[in-house]
Amino acid sequence: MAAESESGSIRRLDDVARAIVAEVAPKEAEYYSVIAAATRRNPRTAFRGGGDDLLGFSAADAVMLVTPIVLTVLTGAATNTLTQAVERTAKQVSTKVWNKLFPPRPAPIAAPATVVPVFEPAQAKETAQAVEDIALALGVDKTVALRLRQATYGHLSGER
Amino acid sequence: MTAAREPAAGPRLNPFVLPSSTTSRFLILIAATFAASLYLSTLHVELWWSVSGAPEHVRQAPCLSALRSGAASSDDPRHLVEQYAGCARTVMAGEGLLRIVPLLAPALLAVLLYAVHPVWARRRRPVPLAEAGTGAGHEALTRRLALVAAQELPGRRVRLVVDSARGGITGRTFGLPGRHVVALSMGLVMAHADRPAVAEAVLRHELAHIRNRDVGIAHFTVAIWWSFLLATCLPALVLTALWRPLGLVFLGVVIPVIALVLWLARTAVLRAREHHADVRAGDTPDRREGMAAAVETVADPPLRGPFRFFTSHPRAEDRRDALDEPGRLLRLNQWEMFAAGLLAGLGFVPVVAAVFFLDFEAPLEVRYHLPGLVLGFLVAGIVVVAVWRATGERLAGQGPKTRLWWAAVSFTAGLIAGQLPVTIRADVWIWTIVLNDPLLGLVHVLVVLLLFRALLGWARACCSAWLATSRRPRWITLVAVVVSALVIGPWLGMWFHGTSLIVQAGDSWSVLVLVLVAMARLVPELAAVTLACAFLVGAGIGRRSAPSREQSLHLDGAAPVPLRRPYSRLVRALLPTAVACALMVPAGFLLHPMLAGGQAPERLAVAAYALVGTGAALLALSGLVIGVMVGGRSRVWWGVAHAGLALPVACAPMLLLLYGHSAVARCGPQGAGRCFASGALDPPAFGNSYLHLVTYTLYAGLALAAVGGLLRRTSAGVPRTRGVGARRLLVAVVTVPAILTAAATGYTVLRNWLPTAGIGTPAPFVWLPQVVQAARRPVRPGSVAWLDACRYARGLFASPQVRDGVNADQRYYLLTAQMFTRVGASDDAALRAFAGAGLAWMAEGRADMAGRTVGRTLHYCILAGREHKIEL
Repeated sequence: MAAESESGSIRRLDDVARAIVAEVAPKEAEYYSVIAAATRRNPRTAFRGGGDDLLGFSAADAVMLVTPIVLTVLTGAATNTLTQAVERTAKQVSTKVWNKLFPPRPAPIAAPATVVPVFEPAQAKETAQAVEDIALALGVDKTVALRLRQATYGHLSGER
Repeated sequence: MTAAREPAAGPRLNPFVLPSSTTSRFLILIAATFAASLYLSTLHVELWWSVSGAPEHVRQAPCLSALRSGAASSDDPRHLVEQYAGCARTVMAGEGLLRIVPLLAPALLAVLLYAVHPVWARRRRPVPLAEAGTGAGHEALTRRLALVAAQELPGRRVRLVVDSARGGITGRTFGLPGRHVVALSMGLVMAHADRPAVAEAVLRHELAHIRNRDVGIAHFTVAIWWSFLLATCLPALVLTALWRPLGLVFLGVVIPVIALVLWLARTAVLRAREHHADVRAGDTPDRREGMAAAVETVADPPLRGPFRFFTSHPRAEDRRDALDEPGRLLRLNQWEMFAAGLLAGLGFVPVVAAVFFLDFEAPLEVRYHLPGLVLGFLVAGIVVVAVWRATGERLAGQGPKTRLWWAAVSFTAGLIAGQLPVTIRADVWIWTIVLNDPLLGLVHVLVVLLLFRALLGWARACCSAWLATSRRPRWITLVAVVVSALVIGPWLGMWFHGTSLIVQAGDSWSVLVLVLVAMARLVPELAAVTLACAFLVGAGIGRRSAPSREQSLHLDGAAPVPLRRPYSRLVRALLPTAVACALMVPAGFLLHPMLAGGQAPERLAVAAYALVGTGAALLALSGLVIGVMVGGRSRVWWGVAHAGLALPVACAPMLLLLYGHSAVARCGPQGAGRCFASGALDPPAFGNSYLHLVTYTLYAGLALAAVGGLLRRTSAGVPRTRGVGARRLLVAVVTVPAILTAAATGYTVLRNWLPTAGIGTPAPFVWLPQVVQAARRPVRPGSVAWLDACRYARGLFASPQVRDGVNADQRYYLLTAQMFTRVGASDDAALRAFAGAGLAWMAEGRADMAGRTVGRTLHYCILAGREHKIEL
């Protein structure tokens, strides 16, 4: 695992995340800053809605945000807590009654300037797979989830 | 995804002409919460007295000891009894406040939660729409959404913000009035590029909540729920656990049931507002398409089948149906009727109990009519408005036939079911009657069923008459709610009072008849009937040249529908009554021999009733003619309403004629003037006689007017204008004296009635000789044991008879005099003081105070019995 990319520059968490989001969901990338800030403030809301649906329009989640997913997994990867991050997030989006009633504390999102190292291929593959799994659990379209995996792998392994 | 549906042909019905079902359901929620809180508060006050070892006779001990110590030495028993009553009232008022004050906690908490809801709603720190993104695309989006907001709410400022981390195409509206905020999801902002119609439809839906004025309702609904849980249920559980842990078993059943009812009421409000917002946001063909597309994205709630009533959002299918056919929102909902009845049944007894404790000597008008009026507002706000909405749909020529009988049955079933858990006052419990004598109970229930059916029919007639004349249909609906509450409230209160009388007297059929007689002859009930008739006829009073009102009964830009207005025919309705008065002149002369011979007391009543009966019969028959002349087979209500106004007006001149005949027959032509003046010019005496005559005339006249209406075949609906000019001179000649007569009669009736309602001093009562005789019976103090005297007093009024309702022979006061003479002979000085006070009041002709002293005596007897552990 190297701290610098092949070009020698240090990669920051938000830069990598923004690049992945821009590749998968260009429209969302336009709003990356506010989405990332809101996700950092309250990661739970990003995955669970926050309980205000009671008085909302009650639309299905036809438009899923990928930024919270990418930030969560990149944080886990950058801080060597990927397993815990994936587990906690899986419980956040779980449909089990117990997890709905007593959700665990969500994994915190690392600061924007957190350094993201270049991963070994196996490690990058594992991280990319985690991104895809969470995306599918949240109801993201399969094609988008696959593209998300590919983009994550590409950026973490230093291919892009 | 559901396949695209074919929109219904023709314009859709407009559900916003009249107050929506969201408001009615919100009223149900508030009433349910109030009733449940009062119920739990009453339970806990009773529990506290039970565990603290302070039954009523202990709490009233200072009053009892003051009475007993004063009874031995006091020369003025009336003053002593007044002091006792004042003391008992103070103690009981404090106990009444103990039940009511705890209700302030959930009420204040609900207001507080509502007031801070914008702070809670902003906890995720939504960012202003303009600051959520950058670039030309986002600026264009911001401008477009701001334009939509300005189109929907011109001249009003609404802040648009973005929930940055929220996916999905959704939004929510919050904020206090005038400071509303619409929070859009980031998903909606992003989706605008690909699906602008859907995104804008969702925004319009959120803005429709502001247009429908249901933002406050929604957040208050949530606040009420939490305040009930935190400030009512939690203290109830804690106090029960501390005072009587076993009581938790009972509360463990009761509280979940109440919470379930409140949850259903809460979700009903929230679902109704969603439907109305959908329709408002899609009220033109173009907007409807966008809204339909948005509704297609709606996630169905997780609960299915009947469990869907537990969810706050309707199913997508239901939303589509309501959007395509908004008339569904106007139809009578039998569950709503049932819920209104349930709350009336659940809430009446706690309210009666609270009023009783606040003033246990309050007159009937306060003890039963006041709670009746409170529930009357609930019933009117839900049931009557629902009938108005359904009638509006029918006036637009759409929708199924309104099932008023089913609605009345649903309400009645709810009323009886609502009484089931309210056992805190077994004497006002319909189930006591039902369980003792099912047939008697069924008949008593049928009475309330018929009352409500009549109310619903009247409400439908009022709606069709008033919508055709009113410029502001929502305002006139609110006026109708107030009038309906005044109309049904007294009758509802008296029905519960009847329940109480029947329970106390045992399962007696004669008491049921007594109740009906009493219901019919009380001033509030008579005034309610007249008011109901006046409100309906009032819709048709106006210039005949004035055009009919057009109401926007449809959406989709359809033209307003002109409703043909009715015209009142009061002058025509007064003609038969005038003929009846004219016929009374020769008829009275035929009765002169009987009247002249009616000087003897035993024949006085017969002679008087023969005279009054003739006048009443003539007027009642004129009701039949009014029904034929003004009403018709398809507009029976119209004829009945005219009779209901014309007959009370005509009773005044008829009564003057009766006084005249009586004066001439009894005092001869020379002394007739003096005799006439003593009766006709004395407001209390005239008012009393007038009420009697109206009682005997009104109901028979209304029934005959209905029969008369059925005899004549007419075209449907209220009568229409024939385009003829009004005969202004004739109208003025008839109307001016009629109004003056009604005003003068109203004044005398009030002078007669107000003292019975506890306002002012009444005129001295003239007792019949047998009453005077009974009151003057010699008394031998100490010859009767106090317990025997009390049992005699309690038993004397336990089984009232039908003639007590008519009270023509003053039987009640005869029993009163007998009771005082018996109690005066007891070996208890306090009881003798009550007897002395009662007989002194009777000697002064104060029937009101004699009646009060009876109540005080019985109250003392109950407390004295409990001191000796005897339940009297």
